[in-house]
Amino acid sequence: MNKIKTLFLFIPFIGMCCWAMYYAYIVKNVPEVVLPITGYDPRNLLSGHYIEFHIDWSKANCYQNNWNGVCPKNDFSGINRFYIPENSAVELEHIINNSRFNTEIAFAYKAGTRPIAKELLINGRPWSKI
Amino acid sequence: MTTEHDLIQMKQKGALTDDEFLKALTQLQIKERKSSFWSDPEKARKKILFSIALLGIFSVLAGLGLIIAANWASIPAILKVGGGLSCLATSLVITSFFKNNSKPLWMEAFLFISFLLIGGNIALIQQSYHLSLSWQEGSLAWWILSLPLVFFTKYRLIPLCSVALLGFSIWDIIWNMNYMLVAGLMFVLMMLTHFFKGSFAKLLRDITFIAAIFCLYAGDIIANSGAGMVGVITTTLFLIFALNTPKTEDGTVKYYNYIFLLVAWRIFLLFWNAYYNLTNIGILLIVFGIILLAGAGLYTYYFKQIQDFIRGFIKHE
Repeated sequence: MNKIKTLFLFIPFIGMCCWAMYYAYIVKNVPEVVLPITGYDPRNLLSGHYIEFHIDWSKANCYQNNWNGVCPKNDFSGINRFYIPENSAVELEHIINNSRFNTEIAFAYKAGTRPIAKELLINGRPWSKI
Repeated sequence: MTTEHDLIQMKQKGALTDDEFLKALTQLQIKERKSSFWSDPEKARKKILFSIALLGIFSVLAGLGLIIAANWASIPAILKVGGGLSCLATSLVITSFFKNNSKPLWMEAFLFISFLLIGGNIALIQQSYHLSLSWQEGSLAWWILSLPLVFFTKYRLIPLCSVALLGFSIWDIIWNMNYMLVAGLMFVLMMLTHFFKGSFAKLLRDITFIAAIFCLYAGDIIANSGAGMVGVITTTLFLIFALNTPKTEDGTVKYYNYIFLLVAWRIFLLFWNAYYNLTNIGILLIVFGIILLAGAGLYTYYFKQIQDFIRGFIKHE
């Protein structure tokens, strides 16, 4: 009985492991789609800096991932954050707001699942490699 | 050199007052402690070595922390999250160790650390997988995941934090729904706990009570109107009365007696806000007056009979 009670204590850990593993699985196995964005850089007190982006559907390629010309806008509603290190925040904000740069985000997305932002791309390359 | 024995003798002879004796004894013990540290070279060596080792461990940990922080962006998400979850697992293992070894204070300390680590890990998962969670969704996840810890703690810190998290996460619901309905549901839950005994029922009673009061205050403040201010003031008055009631045998405050009055007052306020106009107030006052007059008339007319009935009832009991 005591052992069962002690196991009960580990429910938060088991729950969080399942949660994290689910995202790790999605990021690794679900096909990638790339969408253009516009955005700015606010801050979350707990998690740090992030780019709050809006997907620019007018420039989006709606023929990728078998979409057949119809972009799944509803599935992407509410997906608007990409976390970045604090020391790169100001520079990235300038880049995103500069029309000379083509800023996109690569998402792990499959119809029926919630999209997960994987990488911020600037002119087709990951932001960390610029 | 004066010894403890000398001091006792001096006190017995009356050469030292109680205060002087205590002061001299304390100084003597401090001196002895200092001299014993250096007079025992083996003990001193061990203590110095331990201090150096502790400083070394601290330095290594601080250095590792800084290196991890400097390369945070290039660490894979799975490693970051794995590291955070390992800290949580370690904290929970230590908690269960202290629980099995009957060290409640240490267990409570690590329970609280685990509680904080759950929040930290939610933020870490959010950051690592770029999740667009709102503060409310984050708080709700934290509240749900930390619920098992509430069952283990015997102090009120974690339950209170848990209630605060729940309150924060249902902020939207309070905003969109009628907050009095949420508070009412909490009161109903609180009343239901009186059919059960034990520490869990007591804890749930406290939690629902705090949650209900929180809903009332939050809703009243959001309402930002005259009625809202009346709500804030009256709730505060009821709270003052409730918290000043004497404790029962099992140590719980009988605040729930006042909750009936508070709920009745709130229902009245609700109707007042919805149906306030001069005609309705007039009708209300007339009905109230008739009830009072009828009561007084009946009491006067049947005074003797009522008295006899009560006496008979008491005798029968």
